[in-house]
Amino acid sequence: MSSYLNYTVRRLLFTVPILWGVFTVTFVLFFIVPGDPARLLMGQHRDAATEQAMKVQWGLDQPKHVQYWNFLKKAAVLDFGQSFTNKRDVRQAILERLPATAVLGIPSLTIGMFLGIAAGLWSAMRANRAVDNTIRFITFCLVSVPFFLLAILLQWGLGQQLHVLPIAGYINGPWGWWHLALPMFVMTLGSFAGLTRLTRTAVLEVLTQDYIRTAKAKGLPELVVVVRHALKNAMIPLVTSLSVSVAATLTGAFFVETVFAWPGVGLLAVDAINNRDFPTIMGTVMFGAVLFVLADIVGDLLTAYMDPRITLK
Amino acid sequence: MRLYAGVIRFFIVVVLIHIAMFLVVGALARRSEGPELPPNTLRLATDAIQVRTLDPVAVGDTASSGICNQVYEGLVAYNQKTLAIEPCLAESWDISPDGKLYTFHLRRGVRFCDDPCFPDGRGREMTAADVRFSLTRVCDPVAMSTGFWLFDDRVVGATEFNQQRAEFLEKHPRFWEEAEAWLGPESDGVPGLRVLDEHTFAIALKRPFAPFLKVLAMSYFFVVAPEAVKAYGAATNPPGKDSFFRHPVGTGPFVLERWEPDVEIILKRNANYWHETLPHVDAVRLISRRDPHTAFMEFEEGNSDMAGVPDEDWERVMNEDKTLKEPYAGRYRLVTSATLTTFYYGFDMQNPPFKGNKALRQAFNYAIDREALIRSKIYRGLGRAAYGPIPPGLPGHDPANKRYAYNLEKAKQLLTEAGYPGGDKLGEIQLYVSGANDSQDRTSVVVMEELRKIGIKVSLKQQPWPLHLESIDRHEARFFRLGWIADYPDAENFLALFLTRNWKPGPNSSSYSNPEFDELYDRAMLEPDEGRRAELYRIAADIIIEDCPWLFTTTGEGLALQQPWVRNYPRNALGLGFYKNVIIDRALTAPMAARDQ
Amino acid sequence: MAQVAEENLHARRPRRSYWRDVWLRLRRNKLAMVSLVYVVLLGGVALAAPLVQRHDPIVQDLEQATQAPSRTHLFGTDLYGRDIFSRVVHGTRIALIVGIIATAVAIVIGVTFGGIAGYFGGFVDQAVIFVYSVVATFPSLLFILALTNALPPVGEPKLFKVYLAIGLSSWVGMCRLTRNLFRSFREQEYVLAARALGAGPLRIIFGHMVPNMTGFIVVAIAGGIAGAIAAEAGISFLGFGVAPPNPSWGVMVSDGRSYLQAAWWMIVCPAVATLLAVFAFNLLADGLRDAFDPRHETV
Repeated sequence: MSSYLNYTVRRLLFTVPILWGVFTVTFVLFFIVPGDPARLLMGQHRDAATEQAMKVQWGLDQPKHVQYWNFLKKAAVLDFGQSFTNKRDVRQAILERLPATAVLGIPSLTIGMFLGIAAGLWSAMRANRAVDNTIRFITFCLVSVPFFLLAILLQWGLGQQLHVLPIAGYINGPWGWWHLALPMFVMTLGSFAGLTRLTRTAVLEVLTQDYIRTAKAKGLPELVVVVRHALKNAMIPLVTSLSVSVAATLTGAFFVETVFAWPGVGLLAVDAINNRDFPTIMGTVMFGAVLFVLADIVGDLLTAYMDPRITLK
Repeated sequence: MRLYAGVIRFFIVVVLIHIAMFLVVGALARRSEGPELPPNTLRLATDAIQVRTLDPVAVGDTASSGICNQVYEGLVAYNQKTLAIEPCLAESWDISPDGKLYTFHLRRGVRFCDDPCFPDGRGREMTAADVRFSLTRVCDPVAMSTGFWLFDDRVVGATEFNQQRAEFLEKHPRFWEEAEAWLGPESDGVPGLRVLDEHTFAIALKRPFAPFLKVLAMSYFFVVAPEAVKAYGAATNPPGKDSFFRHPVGTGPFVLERWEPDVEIILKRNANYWHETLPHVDAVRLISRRDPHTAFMEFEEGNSDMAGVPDEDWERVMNEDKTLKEPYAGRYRLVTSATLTTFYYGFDMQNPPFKGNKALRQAFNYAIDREALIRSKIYRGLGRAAYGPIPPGLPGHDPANKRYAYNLEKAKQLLTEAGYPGGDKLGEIQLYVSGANDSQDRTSVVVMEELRKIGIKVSLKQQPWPLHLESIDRHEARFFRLGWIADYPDAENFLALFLTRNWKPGPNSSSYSNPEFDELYDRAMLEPDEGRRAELYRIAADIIIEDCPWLFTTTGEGLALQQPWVRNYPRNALGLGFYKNVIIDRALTAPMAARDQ
Repeated sequence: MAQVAEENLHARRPRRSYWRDVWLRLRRNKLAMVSLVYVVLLGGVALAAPLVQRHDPIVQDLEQATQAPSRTHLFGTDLYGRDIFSRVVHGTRIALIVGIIATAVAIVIGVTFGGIAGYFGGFVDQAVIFVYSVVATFPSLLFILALTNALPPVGEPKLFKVYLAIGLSSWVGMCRLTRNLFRSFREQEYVLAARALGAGPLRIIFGHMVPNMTGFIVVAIAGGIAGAIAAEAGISFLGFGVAPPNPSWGVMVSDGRSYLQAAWWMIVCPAVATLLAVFAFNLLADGLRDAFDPRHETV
């Protein structure tokens, strides 16, 4: 167990410079590029004195590298300052909107995973037959479709045409849960498709191995063979790509939240970029980055746990 | 058999975990509903929940000023229909014969709302000192006021005071760390703002300014409680803490009950409000609905009291002639109103190619078919063609003026006169626009195309609003789209956009300068007679039309549907909402005619 | 293990029959052939756009706005009266240009960095790993949006920042792949031989190792174009991509969204065009992957 702890600590240390890199790149992309942030705080009538007061208060009157250092110090403790557009604390805003994204993202990821594994297994076991071909076709379509188109299509189809489900807005009241249905359905489809394909490949590869044939020859029912032997090994690539799945879910959330007007972190980020609301942009970028890194580490730990051949370096 | 039982158990566990997860995360995710609201609550679903601040002096956008209008009041107010000036916190006033001294007699018995910033939590009576405090703040850069330009060089001593405070700011850059920094000692106040006695307040102007009362009705000059500013620190604290801009304490008909950014705002009746019968409604709830179609569906379900008609539903609900189709006509009340807004494309008058080239600017103006634009699916008839700077409804507007009616031949001819036959040698012109999110600036697309027809190549440069303004300030943008919503209903507000002294950082975005025009404007300001002033306005507008520092396009018009149980909803050309007059009468099931309200 | 064996085979078999093998295998895959035909068709349409379209894609006719599909307007008209068919056709050009250039950028950067890292190892390797880790950790959409914000719009029609942004955000996969391949290539006999003969690293990398990657590169190109088209549509939809009046498919979808009920053709036509293009390139990529390495089972 201590080797896991060891590994985790070492990985976390290694990711610190990476997070610093992400921070710096974001800073350069937004701050160095022309656009006076103080302008964002004022309206159409501005006088020099007020503008100066605002600049001072927000620390924008200092040279860029001083600002960078100050911001970096605060960011290290997860303090991203106040939003330029509505002066609220960025961290608080993100935390407030986090449950909305989580309630979309987490279930879609887990449901997608379970369904994906099940479908991938089934597909692999009936390789190249009708079931397999259907599933392959469906998942191919789902994976190829640009995500936002999928969202719009389903919103229109299920929401407006059939009046089955509400098309936008947030959970409000006991019947508000219905608002969750469509966006989550869209996101689940996305992760389901990718995971099915992954599982199918992995399981197929295992199924062609000799020890499977031996087990079958011993007379064990196919499902037992598959579940007991193949599945565990097939899970490995899935788990290894956990961070990619998480990142993909987050990106998917951006589109889904925009299309369904779902007030989560994704929508916050897109709005922030539109408004050049730099502190919020930084906050959401770092949020996504930290999420990715954590998922990566967890994925590696799980892989090591599941595959005794791999040692944690 | 055993295997399958195991699998089933596994799936049951999975499902249970998911249900648990939903409950937990969902409970966290749901914004708590807030208090139960009384049945006569006014409910509005709007995407204007982007309120930025509730500090009156710092208000720069319509969403914020809309809420300020409910919780604060000023000396005078606009009539909600006619926009005429009515008494509010001032019961009456006298204007000196030379027009330079305004004396206000304050209403007695006006109390601030209850708030912990007061010693015993009870709102105390408002006095002239509070008015002075509030108006002085407008001139104080420490308060981050954006309304100073209205008092600048108008109110006696305002400019000097602002100067002093600016110097103070320079010497004390981290002023919020110093206790009494929010306002200097009494003697440093603005001499033109005078407390005569507890209920009498006077303002001294440097020279007469005819629309002054209309200016005073603006939200910058609402009266705030000094205790609140001190307790919650306006701009003196670093923003984000429980600041004054989030914690309004005023004399208005409502108090802020709850403000959840991007979710909702709830206002409740102010128990201390001075008026006997108003407000009629006990509460107001504004819900955030970013998607206009969802907002409209809520309206149709009866969950909100007013809505605009979005693109998705237009064909279903509206006729070609802007009337409601059946059965909607019997269900909702349709309200249209022209707004005092003008949309234009400004030319940079100080730089080529538009500098000194009137023919070129006029060519642009002749090339646009405004009538077709209004008729098209883009406007659907909502709006009027603009051929001059003053919108219809204001004295000074000349309805007969159609100077730049669409004339492609004339446009081409003028283009040649301007030295660019067929658009040659002009090069590509960048049109600066500010688009927000994914809403394209549709008119700009049309304008670009119309200009292309006479040979002018235009490309679009989209930036967010603050950067857009900055590009204009820096003269980087030679051709840019802007709009102007009247601050107060007087043509002067539009004509001021062309004054030389209003160059950057003022609102004269095209940097137009014409001494003849300036002189005419000043004369109009001295003219006490409304009729003669309107005539002067018209002559001044003619100069602008001839010189066309703008490409005039359209003036605004709004359309909304109301539920039958809503009466007396404010409808005026500034789009100002005063919810205190609204009556929610659930007994009404069919819409009353507008005149009965 | 399987890969290494294959590379050894490549080193020994003559080149011409290798490509013929690939082509024959591809021919057998019906789906891949159909998508190849479609891709070629797209290319043709893009090149010949002015000939194919019936109307000018940016000319407006406000009176004719939102007309249903008809003989004169095959796909109907949009909000400004522009012919949607012509816009979709013209949009093919934009989609393909973005796809090709963005993918080219991604592959060039990815192969170069990955190659350097894989070949030299050591500190260079660590540095490259650091750089691509940073890029990978960045939420991809935000990265693209940030880049489009920072880069200047130059070129005609002002798409430079779009394809550069997409390319810069998607090179990591290619980089990782190249690096892994090169690490195994490094120990191959022919490399050791070349080095013994005095060949410099550049010549070895670009003369020997990269050509052995051709299969992967071709597959990556096809897949990359699909991804780039989808990405461009996505960011245009969010409002960050191509500026009007350029007919990008993503912009057309965004414009048409509010008119789904009243004028479905405004959104359906560009959406279908996008879908078909992305599908075709993806199918082609899958087929190519099969053709180059028959042992690799397609998912």
